[in-house]
Amino acid sequence: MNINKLKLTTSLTECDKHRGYLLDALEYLQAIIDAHDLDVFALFADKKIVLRLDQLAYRFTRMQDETGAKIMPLILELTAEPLDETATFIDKLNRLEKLGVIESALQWLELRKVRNSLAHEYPDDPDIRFAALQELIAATNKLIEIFERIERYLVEKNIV
Amino acid sequence: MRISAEQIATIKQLTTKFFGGQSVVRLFGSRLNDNARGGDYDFAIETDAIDARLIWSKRIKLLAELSLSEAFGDQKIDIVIVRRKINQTAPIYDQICITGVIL
Repeated sequence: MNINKLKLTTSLTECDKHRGYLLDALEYLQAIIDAHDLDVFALFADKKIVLRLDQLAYRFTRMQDETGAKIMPLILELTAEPLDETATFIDKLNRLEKLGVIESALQWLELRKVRNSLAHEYPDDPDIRFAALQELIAATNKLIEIFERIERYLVEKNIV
Repeated sequence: MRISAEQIATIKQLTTKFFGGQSVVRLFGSRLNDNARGGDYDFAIETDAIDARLIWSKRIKLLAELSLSEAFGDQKIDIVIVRRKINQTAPIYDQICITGVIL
């Protein structure tokens, strides 16, 4: 097995683990958000919930890094689509979009911005904190979708 | 203030695109200090919009488009949202409005 394939398999296994923890946290948090008696003020003060929020934020960041910094560049190498040294991250994203590995380069950039806007901000404004949490949940679902699209692509193209 | 004319045009254009003509964008923080070096760009956008969810998702889209722009590229940018009808009394927003420079 060539070294890039080996690296790719390792990263895929890593992301699969992150996905497991993310799904776990999502299930827990979604049940709380869907409850009729949701109290947005109390949400960010409850230790058990904060631990789950941390789990979500941490795994989201790890999975995004693994996918963006390892899996995506490896796919470009393995599909014989390497770009030259001066290629920017945006160039790589555009190439991946063209190959059909990801649906949209812009969507990936948006996910990168979500992580820098996590729920700890805006202590004075619980509405905004809650909106940021909802955005993170939506982004996590998108990240998992993107990863699953990559998994399907790799099987279809016989890469792993 | 340490921000180029091209950067000002870009942030203003994208603020209007996502938050409409009634919105105001200010620069605050270390980029106002001509003697400092480097540092993040801190912007505050004041809007009449109220729906927090919609505002937050527009803020994310705006940040993503800024990172695609020639003017900013991958430089670090933070955007604080001030909801005119709701936040105006919070001390941090007072501070931003007093020290920030309208672009």
